[in-house]
Order: sequence, then C-alpha cells, then structure tokens
Amino acid sequence: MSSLAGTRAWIVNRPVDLLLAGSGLAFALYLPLALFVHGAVAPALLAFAGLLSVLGNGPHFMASYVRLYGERDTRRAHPLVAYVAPLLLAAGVVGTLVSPRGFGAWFIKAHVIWSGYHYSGQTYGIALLYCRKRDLALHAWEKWLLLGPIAFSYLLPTISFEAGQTGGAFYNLPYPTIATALHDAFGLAPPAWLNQATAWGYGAAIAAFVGWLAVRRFRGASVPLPAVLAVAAQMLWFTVVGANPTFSLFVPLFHSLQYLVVIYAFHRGAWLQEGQPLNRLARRHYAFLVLLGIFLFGAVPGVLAQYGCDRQVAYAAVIVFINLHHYMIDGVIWKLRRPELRRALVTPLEQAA
Amino acid sequence: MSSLATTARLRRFGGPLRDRLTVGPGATLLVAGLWPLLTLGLSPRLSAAIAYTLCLLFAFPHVARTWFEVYARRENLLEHPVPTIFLPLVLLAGAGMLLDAPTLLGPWAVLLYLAGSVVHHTQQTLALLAERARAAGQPLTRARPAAALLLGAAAAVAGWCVGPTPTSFYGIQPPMLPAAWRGAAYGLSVLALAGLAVWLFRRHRQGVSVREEALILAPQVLWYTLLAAAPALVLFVPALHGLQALGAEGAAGDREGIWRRYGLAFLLGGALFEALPGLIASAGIEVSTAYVAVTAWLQLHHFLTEPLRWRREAAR
Repeated sequence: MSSLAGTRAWIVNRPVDLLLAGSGLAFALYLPLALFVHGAVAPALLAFAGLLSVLGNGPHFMASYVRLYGERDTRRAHPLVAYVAPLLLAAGVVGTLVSPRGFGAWFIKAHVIWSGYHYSGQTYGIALLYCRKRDLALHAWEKWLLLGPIAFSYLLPTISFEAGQTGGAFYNLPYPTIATALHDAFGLAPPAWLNQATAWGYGAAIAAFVGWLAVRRFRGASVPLPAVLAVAAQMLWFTVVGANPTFSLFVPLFHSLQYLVVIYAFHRGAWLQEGQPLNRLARRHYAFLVLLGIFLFGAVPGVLAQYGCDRQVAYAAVIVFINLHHYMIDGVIWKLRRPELRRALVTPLEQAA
Repeated sequence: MSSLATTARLRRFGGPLRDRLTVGPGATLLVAGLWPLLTLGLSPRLSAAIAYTLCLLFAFPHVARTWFEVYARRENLLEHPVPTIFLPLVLLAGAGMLLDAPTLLGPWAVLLYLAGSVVHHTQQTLALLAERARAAGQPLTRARPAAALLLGAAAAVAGWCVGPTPTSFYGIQPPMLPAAWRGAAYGLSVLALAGLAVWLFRRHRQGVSVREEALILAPQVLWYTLLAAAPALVLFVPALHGLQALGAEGAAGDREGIWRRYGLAFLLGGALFEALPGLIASAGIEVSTAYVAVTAWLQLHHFLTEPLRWRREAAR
C-alpha cells in the first residue's frame, strides 16, 4: 500500500480528490443547506448558482468538445459522434425552434432522461477508476454490486416522475411525462407497483453495496474512499435532495467538478512536456473552456434570437443540443481500455511523464 | 527591382486581393452592391440579422482583439491607467445608470456611441493612411485629411438624427435634431468630400502616388455617404470597420498564430456582445436596453483603448 501513497493513488491529490472527484464538497454543502435553507430558492442564490454554472458547468461541457475535436485521432475514431451527431442535433434544434411545444418537448425530454443516465455513468466510471488506481481487480458480480445503488438512485426519481401525471418545464417550455404521453396515445398506464418495486430494488442495492464494502474491508482490500464517496454523492444528488431545491441547483456543479478533475489529470502529462509551469497551462486551458462555454451557451442562442427566433426557445434548444452531444461524446471518449487514457489516468505520473 | 517589389509589398497590408477587399473599399462596395437584395428582396429583420452576423464575425472580434492586446500587457495598465482602468469604470457606471433609467439616458447613450464611432473610424482611417504612407516612403506631414473625414462623418450622423424617423439603435433613437439640419448635413458632406479631393490633389502635386491613399480613404467616405443614406446598409458599417482593422492586422502584427488569435477574439467578442446582454436581460431588464448598455459600453471602451495599440504599432 505504501507504494501507492504517491501520485498513483489519487487523480490529483488527496484533498482535491476527496472534495471534488469524490464530491465531498457536496456533503459539506448539503449539511448547512439542509439545516438553514428551506423553501423556495432565494434570487441571490439563484444568481450565484448561475455564476458557478458559467465557471464550472460550462467548462465541463466544453472540455469534452476540446477532447473530441482537439484530437485528430479521437475525431477519426468516432466519426458518428464527431460529425453525424451534430447534424442530427442541429436538426433537433431546428425542430424545437419550429415546434417548441411539439417536437421541442420531446427533444427536451431526451435530455432530461439521458442526463441522469449520464451522471450515473460518470459516477460508475470514477468509482472504477479509483479501484483501478489501487490495483483492485473487481469480479463482474462486484461491478454489478457497485453499479446497483448508482443505477437505482437514477431510476427511482426518474420512474417516479415519468409514472406521474405532472410534467416538467425547461426554460418555460413544458414537457410531458411518459405516463401522460402513453395515456394520450394508447390509453395505457404504468403498473401501480412500479414505483414501489423500484424503491425496494434501491433498498436491496444499497444493502448489497454496504455488505460488499464490509466484506472487502474485512478481507483487507477496501474499496477506495473516493469511490465510495462518489457513489454516496450520487445517491445524495438523486434521492436525498429532492426536498431541498436550493441544493439541487448545485448538483450540476458537483458533477462538473468531478469531470474537471479528470480532465486536468488527462492533460497533465502533455502539459508537463511543454516545459511551462503546469498551473499556468492549466489556467489558460480553463480560461479557454470558460470562454467557449459562454460563447456556445450564451452567444449562440442570442444570435438565433437576432434571426427572429424566440429567445427562451433558442436558449432551451441550444442547451439541449450541447447536453445531448456531451452525453454522446462522453459515452465514447472515456474508455479506460484505451492506452492513452490508462497512461494519463491510471499510470503513476512519474511514469507517464 | 527587388527594392521596388519590396516597396510595393510594404504599401499593402496583405495580398493584393485581401488588401483591396478588407483595407480598401472592396467589401464596402460588395455590401453596397447587395443593396437591392437587402432592401427589396429581404425583410428588414433578416437584413439586420445578416448585418449582425457580419458584426459577430468582424466587428466584435475587432473589439475583442483590443481587450487582448491592451490588457494582456501589464505595462499598458501602468503607463495608461486613465483609458485602461479609470475611464472604463466610469463608463461602466454610466452603463449601470442607463440600465436604471433607459428612457432618460438611452438616446444620449446612442448619440455618444454614434459620435464616438465617427471619431474612432476616422482615427483608424488616418492610422492606416499614415502607416501606408510611411511604408511607401512618403510620410504624411501637416497635410492630414482629418478635418475633412471627421466633418463628413459627423455630417452623416447629424443626418441620421433628423426626424421624422431617426436611425435607431436596438430600437432606441438618438435625440432628434430639427429638420433644417438635414440640408446642413448634406451641405457639410459635400464640403467634406471637396476637402478630401483637394487634399489628394495637393498630395498628387507634391509627387506622391495618391492611388493607394485614395483606396484607404474610400471605405470611410463610402460608409458615411452611400451606406449612410440607406437604413439597411448603415448597419453594416461596424462590420466593415472591423473587417478593415482585422485585415490590416496581419501585416502589422505577427502573422504566426493569426487564426488562433482571431478564434479567441471571435469567442470573446461573442461572449461580450451577445452573452452579456442576454445575462443582463435574464435579470428582468428590457432586452434592447441591455444590448444598448453593453454595446455602448464595450464600443466606447474600445474607442478609448484602441489608439494605444495604434501608437504601439507605429512605434514598432
């Protein structure tokens, strides 16, 4: 274990990993919010969350764009995601602008449903990454135990929402639940036991996960703390915070911070080879991501509005485009079996450099 | 032969085509040639959107380049704290006041922006003229056509401010001038053109080849005569001015990495001019007021700081 105490065991270092990659920050923020902030979101907090979104959420989306389009090999390896998907999504944007409450509602729906799946994928990936970094070989059934609470924490609120009759709204654009759509189209209704079965499944998954952690610890091969924290954070985001809308505002930020830690680790080796101070290059890269994020999220909808599109609908359509594309990109670029990824994220820094 | 070739090269800012198109009147004439399409074939909204897109491509990156150039160098802030720090903050306070009292201050902000544009466009034309004349070995001395250029442009702006429907900026009109000013504005424009012609003639008499100088003067003359006369075309002036500056930049600055610099300026320009007003509007402010406040602030700030770049380029 002592040989793993250096750069190998952590993505960046112990505090950064525990706070950001493991999302310890989410737990630290949740307690005061749960104790002192109740009811509707205060406007000042809303503005603050907006600022954090510019500084955290935007760059995280843009980082995946830079990874895909900034690397020729990656672009060539994934032509569907790099070239075909943007065209299809652009058609989705046009469809939303033309029919915001018809096609647009389902374009938004795709984003809402995929979003939780994407979060779950990242949580699972980060947990596996830490296990890999600690040389913890997991059996296939152990991976299922790890995945269980992650998957159910996503399924529980999603099924609960989609089986209900009250839809949601995104930038003032309403979208239906699947239950209402099924009822309107075919007269069907989801089975009454679905919610309860999912809740039971979630409970069973948590119990199995905790048991597995205990057995592992008992055998002296504990699951790394950041991996456990990441799983617990996902459960907090999806199933505990529902009653606290203020905390919900910050969940995308926590997800983005996790991502940015991995991005930093990914580029670190290349930056070290440039012979300039690492922090300076990282700051420059981050500033570029912020700028690109402001442009795509803020300026592109504004330009569409100049052409006569409804401003709110344009914002919604562009945001959904970027989100869906991001989910697709992340689905293909973070496969740890790729040697350059293993070198950047798993191999000790000294060896990678 | 080689010295002649060198002189010819120095007298241009890039290749001949790019030079004529961007620094010279090529792009302006293209836009003017599109006038029938823009006024008859397209709706005013679409025509304005096309002009806006060109601003996104040329005018906003031009402004953003100033931010990068001026604020990336610490010595600029130390040597020129008034235009780089103090006045931008004063302008920012003004933009805040405009957001608070748009009806009262909006027309004056528009007028200030238009007047500042006149001075700034003239400054750029003169800077390009001086640079080209210097490169050609025929430097400008006392005979600067500043007065004529300023007069012509100011006359055109005065013409815009005459009713019954003065030119508006994001739906906000400048203070209206009496109708009698229209005739005066036309008269001043003619006087300014005559002044420029006399100046060029005198340069010619001094043995200076004035063809290149006339080509640099031509865009501004066209902006404030031909384009200023058509509401659909006047919206293109900021984009054409930005294109001129970006076109000239390749020769003045370091050619290497020019597209990377442009890319960053494009992103920053879009973020400043488009995302910022959107953000302000999301706080419940009228969209047009947010655009006027942000655009006027950014442009006036640009007018104040851009001359620092020209001075540095001239020193180089």
